[in-house]
Amino acid sequence: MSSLVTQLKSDEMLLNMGPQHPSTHGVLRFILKTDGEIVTACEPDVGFLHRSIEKICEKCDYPGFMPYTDRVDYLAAMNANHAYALAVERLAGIEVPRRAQVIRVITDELNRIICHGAIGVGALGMDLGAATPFLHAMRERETVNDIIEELCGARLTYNYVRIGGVWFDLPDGFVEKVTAFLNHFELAWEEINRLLTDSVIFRTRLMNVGTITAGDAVSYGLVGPVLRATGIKRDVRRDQPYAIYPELEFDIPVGTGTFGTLGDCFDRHLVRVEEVRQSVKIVRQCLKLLEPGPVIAKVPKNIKPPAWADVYSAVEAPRGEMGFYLMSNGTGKAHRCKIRTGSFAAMSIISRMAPGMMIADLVAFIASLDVVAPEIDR
Amino acid sequence: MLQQIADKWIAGEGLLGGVFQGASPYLVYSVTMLIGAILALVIAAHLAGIYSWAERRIAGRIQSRIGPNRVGPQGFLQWAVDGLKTFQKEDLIPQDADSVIFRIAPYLSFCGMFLVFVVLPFSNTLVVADLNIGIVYILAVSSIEVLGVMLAGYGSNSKWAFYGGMRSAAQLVSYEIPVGLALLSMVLLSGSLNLNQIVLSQSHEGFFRSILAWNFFATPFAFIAFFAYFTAAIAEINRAPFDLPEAESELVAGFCTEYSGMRFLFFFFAEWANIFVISMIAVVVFFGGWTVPGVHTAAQWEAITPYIIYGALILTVIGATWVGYRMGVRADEPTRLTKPTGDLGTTILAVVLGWGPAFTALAVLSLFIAFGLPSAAPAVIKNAAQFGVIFIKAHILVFLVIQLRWTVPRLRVDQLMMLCWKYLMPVTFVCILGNMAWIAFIDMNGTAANLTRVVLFALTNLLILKYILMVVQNLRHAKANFDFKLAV
Repeated sequence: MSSLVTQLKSDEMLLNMGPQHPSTHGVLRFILKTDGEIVTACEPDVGFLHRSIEKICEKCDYPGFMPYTDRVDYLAAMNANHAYALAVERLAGIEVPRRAQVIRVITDELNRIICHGAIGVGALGMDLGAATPFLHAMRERETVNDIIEELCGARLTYNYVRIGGVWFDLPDGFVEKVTAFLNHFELAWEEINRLLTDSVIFRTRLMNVGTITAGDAVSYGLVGPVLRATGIKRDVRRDQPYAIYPELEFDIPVGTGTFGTLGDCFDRHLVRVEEVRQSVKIVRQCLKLLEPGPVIAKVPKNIKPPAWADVYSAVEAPRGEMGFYLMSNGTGKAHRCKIRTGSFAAMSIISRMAPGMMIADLVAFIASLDVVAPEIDR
Repeated sequence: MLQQIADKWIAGEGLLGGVFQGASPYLVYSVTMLIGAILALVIAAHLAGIYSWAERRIAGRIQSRIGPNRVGPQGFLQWAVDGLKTFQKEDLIPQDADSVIFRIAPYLSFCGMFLVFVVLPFSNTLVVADLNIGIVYILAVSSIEVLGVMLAGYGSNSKWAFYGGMRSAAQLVSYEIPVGLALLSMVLLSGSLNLNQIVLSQSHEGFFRSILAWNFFATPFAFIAFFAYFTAAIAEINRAPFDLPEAESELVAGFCTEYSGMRFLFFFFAEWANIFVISMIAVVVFFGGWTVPGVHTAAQWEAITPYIIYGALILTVIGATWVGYRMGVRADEPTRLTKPTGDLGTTILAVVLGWGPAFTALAVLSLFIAFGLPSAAPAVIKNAAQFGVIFIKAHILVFLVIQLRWTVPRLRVDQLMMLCWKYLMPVTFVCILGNMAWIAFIDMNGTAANLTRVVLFALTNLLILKYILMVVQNLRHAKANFDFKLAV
C-alpha cells in the first residue's frame, strides 16, 4: 500500500475471521486488526482440531497407530500413511518388497494429484470467486476416489499402507483404470487451467500478493510448494530419496516469477499446477515398473525396535515435507512421536506477511499457502 | 399506456368506462397506476424466480453437475417452492441489530429495482409510465438500491455486513457514473430521454436497414459505449465478477450475512430482476428495443396479422393434441413427462396441457374463420410481436450475464475502483465527446455514416461468431472428455 494510505489512518477494527468462515478451510481462526479494508495485524489462533495424535502414538502399538496417521492430513492420507510406515520400517530395519514400493508411489502421487487439483488449485480459485474450476477439479477427485476405493475400500482415510508393505494387492484392471483416468485427466487439467490460470482477473488477483522471499521461507521453515515457489529447489523425493523415487524421472518445478515477483501467490499456484503434471508423469512411469511379487514383507506381529533408537524420516506430501520422528523404548509402543507438517510452518508466516494486505489479499494468501486445519493442530 | 386508459375512463369511454363515470380523476389515476404496478410486480416476481432456476441450471451445466431437476419438468418449478419455503421461515432479527433499519433495507433495495420496471417499454404501448425523462428517471431511482444495501450493512450490527455495506456504497456510487455517462452518450445520438422515443429513433424501413439502424452500429463510440455500459451495469447490480459487497469467500455473505427468510429473498429478488432490468435498458438504448425488423407501417402489420394468428392457432392445435395424445397412450409407453399409468393426475394433465388448449384453439380458429378477425387483432399482434422481440433480445444478454458469473473470478476492491475510475470513466467521456463530434461533423444519412454501420455490423458478427465457435469447441471438448466414467 502506498504511503498515502498509511497516513490516512482511522480507528482499528478487531475482526474475527473464523473459526466458521468460508475461506479458512476447516476450523481456523484469525484475529485481524483492520484499518478499513487493510489488515494491520493478523494473529492465527490454532488448536480447534487438536486431537493429541502424537500422544496417542505413545499409547498404541506400532501397527495400531496407522489409522491415526490418516487424520493428520485427511486430504493426503496416503502420504501420511507412507511417512509413518517409512519411519517404523527404518526404526525396525524392515525391508519393503519392490511391488509394495511401486504401489506406494502410485497411490502417493494419485493422492497428490487430487489434493493439489481440488484443494491447492481449485479451492484457491474458489476463494477468489471462481467456483467452476473447483467443481471440475472435484469431479476428477471423485474418479480418483473411486479408483482408491476399489483398492482399499476407503475414499478419504485410506489406512492402506502397512508397516512392511501395503494392505492389499492391486485389484484387477487397476492399471487400465488408472491409465484411462490419466489420459482423461491430462486434458481436464488443461481445461481447468484455461479457466483459472489463463484468466486475467485471476492473475492480477495473485500477482505481487504475499511475496515470500527465499530467506524468509527458509527461516520460517516453510516446505513444499510454498518453499519451491520462492525459487529454492528442495524436494524430499529428490534430496532424501525414499521408495523408488531415485529411479523415476520427474522435474521439480520452482517459482520463476514469470508474472509478478518471485515467491508471490501466483508462483505458488503455478508450482502446484506443474507438480500435478509431474505427478501424472510419475504415475505413468510407475505403472510400467509394476512386476508381480509380494506386497508385504514378513513382519512380526509385535514390532519391537531396539531400545532408545530414534529415527526421523520424511516424505514429500502435497503440503511439503511431512516427517515422523519416532523414539523407541524397546517395547511394542513408541516412546515419543513427533510429527512435522508443512501447514504448521506455513501458519507461522501469516502474521508476518499479513500487515498491509487487504482482506481479499489475505484470503488469497491463506488459500495459496494451502493449509489444512488438522495438519496444523494434529 | 395507463395515461390513455385513465383518460378514456374519465371521459366515460372504452371497456369499463361506465364504472368510472363521474369519479374523481385522482381516483381513476390511482386505480390505473395500481393496476400497472401490480402487473409490473407480477412480471418482476416471475422473472426473478425463473432466473434463479435458470441460473442454477446453467451453472450446473457449466460446472458439469446437474442442478435442480426434481420439482416440475426439468426442475422448472424449483423457484416457486424455494420461494414458498423461504416465505415460511421465521422472521429473524438479530438482537443487537437496528431493527427499523434492518427491516426496511430489503424493501428499499427492492424498490430501486422495481421502480425501473415502470418505465421499461415492453412494446410501443406496453409501458406503465411513458416518461419524458425516462433515462434520467432510471439513473435516479436505481440509486435507491444502494441505500438499501448500505442500510442492511449498517443495521445488521455485524462487522462482515458492515464491510459489505461500505464496499457497496463505494462500488455502486462509483459505477453509477460510467453507467450514466454511457447512456447519456447514446441520448445524444437518439435526441431524446424518453425510452420509447429512443427506440423509435432506431427504427427504419426494411429488414436489414432496421437492424443497421440500431444505435449499437451508429458510431464506433456507441459500439464502445455498450461494452462500457454493460460492464458498469453488471458492477452496479452486484453481479460477479463484481459481487464484492457479498463476496462469500471474503465477507461470509457481506451485507446480507444476518438476513434470512423473506428479507433475504427480497435482496435476491432484486438481484435477479436487476439482471433483466440492465439487459432491457441495454436493448432499448443500443439494440433497437422492440422494433420488429421488416415490419413498420400499419399496413404491414395488417398484412402479417392473419398469418401470425392462424399459424399460432394451428400450431397450438397440433401441439396440444400431440401432448394430450401422448398423455393418453403413455400407459404402454411411459415417457419422462408422465408417471405410471392412468391415474387422475395424468388425466388432469392431459386435459389441462393437451385436450383443453387444443379444443379452445380449434374453437377460436373456427370462430375467426367464420366471422373474420376482430378489428383489434393487428394492434394485439403488433404489441405481442414487439414484446416477443424485446424479450428475446434481453434474454440473450441475461444469459451472458449468468454465464459470466460462472466463468471468471472476482476482482479485488482496489482493482474494481481502478477499473471504474481509470478505465470506464475516461472511455465513457470519450464516447460522449466522440458522439458529439460525430453528430456535428458527419451526416448521419451520408455514405460515411452508412459505411460505419456496415463495418460495425460485420465486426459484431465476427465477435458473435468467435463466441459461438469458442462455446461449440468447449462443448465438443466437454463431450469427448468430460462425460468420463471409469468402466468398473
